[in-house]
Amino acid sequence: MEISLYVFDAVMALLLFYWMSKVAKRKPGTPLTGLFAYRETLTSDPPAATKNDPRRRPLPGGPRQ
Amino acid sequence: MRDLIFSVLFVCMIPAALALGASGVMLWIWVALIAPVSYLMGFAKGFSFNKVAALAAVIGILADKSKKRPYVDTHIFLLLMLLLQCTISDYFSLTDISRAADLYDRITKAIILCLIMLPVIRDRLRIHGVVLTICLGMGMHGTSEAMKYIITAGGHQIEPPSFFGDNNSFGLALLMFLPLLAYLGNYLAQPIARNVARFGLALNLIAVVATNSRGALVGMGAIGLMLLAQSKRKLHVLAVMAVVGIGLVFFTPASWRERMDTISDAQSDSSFMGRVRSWKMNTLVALDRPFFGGGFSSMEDQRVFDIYVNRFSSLDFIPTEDPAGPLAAHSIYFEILGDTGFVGLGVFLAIMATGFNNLRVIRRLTVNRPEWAWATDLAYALRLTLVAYAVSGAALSMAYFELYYVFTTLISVLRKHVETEVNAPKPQIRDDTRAQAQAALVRAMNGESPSTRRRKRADAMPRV
Repeated sequence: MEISLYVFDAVMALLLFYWMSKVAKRKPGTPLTGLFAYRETLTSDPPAATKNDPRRRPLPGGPRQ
Repeated sequence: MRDLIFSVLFVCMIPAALALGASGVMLWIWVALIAPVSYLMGFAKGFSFNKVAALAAVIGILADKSKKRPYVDTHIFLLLMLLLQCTISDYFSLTDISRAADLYDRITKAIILCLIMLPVIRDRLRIHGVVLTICLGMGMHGTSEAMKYIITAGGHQIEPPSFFGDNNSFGLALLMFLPLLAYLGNYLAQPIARNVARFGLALNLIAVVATNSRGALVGMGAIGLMLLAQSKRKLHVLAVMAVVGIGLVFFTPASWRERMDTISDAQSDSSFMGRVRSWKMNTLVALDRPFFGGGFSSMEDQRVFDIYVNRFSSLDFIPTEDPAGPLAAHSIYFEILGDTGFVGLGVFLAIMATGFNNLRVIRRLTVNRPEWAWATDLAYALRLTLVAYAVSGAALSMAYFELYYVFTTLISVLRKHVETEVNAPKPQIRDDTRAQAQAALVRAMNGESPSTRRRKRADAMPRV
């Protein structure tokens, strides 16, 4: 078990180093991809359908009484 | 067989390290943490992977065209001061035991590693790479031990790699990188990678418990309190703490709980009182040699011990029995005090204070900026790491632990990156561009559309 973990860790490290060497030289503006990529932000914009959901639009003439 | 597999994989890593300076630094950090000597048993056991990794890192940095100019801030200055102080203390050392040379070698390598990070670890991608590397390097040990602990239902006695020292030091080393695993559990882009990080976090938490270290448990408590204080979702933190607490009560062996119970009864605990005796001895050395200390591990040398044990009664305001023989320092503060004197302790504390201050500055610069939330969260994680080291380290001899210096340098690098990017001047709008924009605004306010302008211009043209 221990040796399996050790080899797995070494393989992951190998992949990480090559991934880093590759993505560090990508063209500016190219999105980061791959197993080790990070998220730019934790919060993502809501999908367009949600933004344009008619139920979310204010009612014309203000809220109903 | 494992020697062959590891050697082949290591050789495959070298081209990546030569291709990019940051990969070289990451390779060095990974090899330093993975401690191949402890796991290899055949022809590769005596091979110095660390030196080869360091050489590859240096060549990679020299060849890297994207490297930046190194900088010197307060942290780097203090690191250099610590190296100087350690060199002086080693030169005037009272002892010549082999461990002294090992420790000087260790702190020198750690500081050189920190210094070579400066030109190449300067943006988010590379900082992220270093965080991943630390988690890969440390995670293997913790995951392996946690799985053995689970399989044996708590019967497994941890035998950490010699690089980490005893189980207490190993517990602290694991505790220090847990906040980074939590950070990766949120910020890795691939769901599978995030889940691996979270699973690793749970297993390594179990490994900390499995070390049977009371110091690590105290550090875990300090991390929990700090997390509670700095988190906006206190109920979530309380729920997690409750789950961990229940797990500790119901799923740990009785021997573990009995050992942890002795934390509340330090006065009668022989292990703790032995530490107090050691702290007093190190204080005596520092009082005698305030500028140089006794040299690395001087209190572990029988000859030095014999010199100072006669003065032991001068610190009787804390009542303890006389020490029977040479002692390890058992505290990062008293270790550096006894080894390098009050000057060294001052520099060491200043490095710690600078780390906390840098984290404060990072949070001040990035708060309420969603695009910099990662830096805020990483700063929080690193603060938990420093708190764990400062609290648990008070009872452990880990003043020269490489990971601590890598963490404080990472904090310095993060601050430099945030300061540079956040304070970067906005692109200036050229005067003619601004004038055109103002004219367009005036026309728009007058209700003149571009098509109207074109028609007027055509009408004004002389007809042939």
